[in-house]
Amino acid sequence: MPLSLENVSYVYMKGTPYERRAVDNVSLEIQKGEFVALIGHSGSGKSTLAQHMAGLLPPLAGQVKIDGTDPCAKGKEALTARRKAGLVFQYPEHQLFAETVFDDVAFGPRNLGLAEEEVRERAATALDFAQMPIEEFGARSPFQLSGGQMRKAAIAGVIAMRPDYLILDEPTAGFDPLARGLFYEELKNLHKKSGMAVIMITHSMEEAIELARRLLVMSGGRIIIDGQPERIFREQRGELLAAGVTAPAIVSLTDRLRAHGFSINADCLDADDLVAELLAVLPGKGPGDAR
Amino acid sequence: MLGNITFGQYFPGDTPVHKLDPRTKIILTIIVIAATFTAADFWAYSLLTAFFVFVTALGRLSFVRLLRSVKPLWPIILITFFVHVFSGQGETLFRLFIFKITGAGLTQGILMSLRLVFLILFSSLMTMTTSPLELTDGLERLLRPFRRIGLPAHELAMMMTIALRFIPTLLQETERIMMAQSARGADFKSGGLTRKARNILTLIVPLFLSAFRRADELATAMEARCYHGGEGRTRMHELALAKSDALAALIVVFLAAVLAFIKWCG
Repeated sequence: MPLSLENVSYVYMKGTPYERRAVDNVSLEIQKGEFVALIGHSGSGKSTLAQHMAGLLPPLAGQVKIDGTDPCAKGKEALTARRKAGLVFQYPEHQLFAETVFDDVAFGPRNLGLAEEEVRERAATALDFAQMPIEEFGARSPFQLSGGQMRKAAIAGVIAMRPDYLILDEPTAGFDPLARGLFYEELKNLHKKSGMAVIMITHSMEEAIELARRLLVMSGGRIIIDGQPERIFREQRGELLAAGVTAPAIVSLTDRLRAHGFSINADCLDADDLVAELLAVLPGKGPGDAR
Repeated sequence: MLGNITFGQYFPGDTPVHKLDPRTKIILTIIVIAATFTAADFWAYSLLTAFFVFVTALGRLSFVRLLRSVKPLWPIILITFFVHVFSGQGETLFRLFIFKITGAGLTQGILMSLRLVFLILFSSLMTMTTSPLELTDGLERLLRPFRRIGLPAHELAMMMTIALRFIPTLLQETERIMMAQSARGADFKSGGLTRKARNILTLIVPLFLSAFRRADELATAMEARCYHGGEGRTRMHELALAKSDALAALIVVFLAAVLAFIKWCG
């Protein structure tokens, strides 16, 4: 069963002069095992939508359902539903609180009421994801880690909950390219191994296409595009532009090559694919032949 | 969760009430509140109500919102009411368990509660029509004469400005951290006392850290802009009294005079 939103809307400070519409009539469905990127420029409502998806913020109108249950309701069932979705907020390192990294990561699993053995096992796996082995980092204070390590420890704290739907709100903001690449590799592995759905919020199209097989583009509180990246770049350029999101560099490159007469597949989203396509049309001498 | 605190919130506008000099508004609010404490009968309260309605309408404020600002303080009002009702002197009207309720006590209770309500309403009226910046500006100006006796007027005003500026920020931060910890299964509403205390800890530690971090950043930012306290500091908007301030003062003084007349001569 999926995570579904039906006509969800939210307005901040409703009824005051500061009223601001953040989410406007959004409907979508995310299946287990999907890898979705949610893109949009700042203020488009991404973070608010993420809070709805995690069942942390009840919408003013519409319905959120996690595996068929309303997570914002009261009672045990709603709690179970809420725990199926894990949200990593922006700058999650600001939520660290415990004396040791282990205690912080173990906070979630302990709240689930698990046995201490299981808690330890989950914390160890989650810290492996963060590439911070529990033997080395477990007993350290989270406040003595580097910024990147703090971030990863905080993310491990959500992963240790083993949610069915993992939502990450700009998890790599402020990372250097190397750290970002490493983080994405780990995230890909986690997604493959665990079978959880990953929903990643970002404002970079490059990052989105590197990981996700489905893009949600948000603008003015609405989801204006929902689909496979290749199809979007082929058919919905206009909408993309309207949302203030540009196609990734590789798509513009492919476009220009095709404009110059290279008969290559327009759906390359990966440097390796593009090279393979080019090698196939170039008879080994140089681009001059193809003209 | 925490976003519905109306007490003291500023609602921007372009009305004569908004445009009054903040000094005028501070002093006149104090006078009106003092006058409220002399009010002791029906006519005095009718006059105050009429004045309140007049200012609210002039400032284009919503009555509902103003009345809502009383809500957070109703327990105090209720306690005041019952204390006065149960400790009244005079003839017993009826009995409730061991308490006897007297006519004088009942009147006293109602009067005292009304006073508190008006106190909150009039101060809300001021804060809803005056931006925090104007308010501290006015306060600094009013406190300036006391610098001679060692009162750090500018520093006090700056502290107030910063505190007011960061209340919404910290509220937002609290809400965010609460949500983030809820996402990890923390429950701030139910559970036993120890569990609750432990959950609150997960909120307080990050909140303190972020408050200190923000304070540090703000101090650096102020230093970088060469802030060195109030000495020799000029301002972009000098406060200036206008005719409307004199008019407002006249109205309020007249109101206070009538209230005093009702109390002592009526």
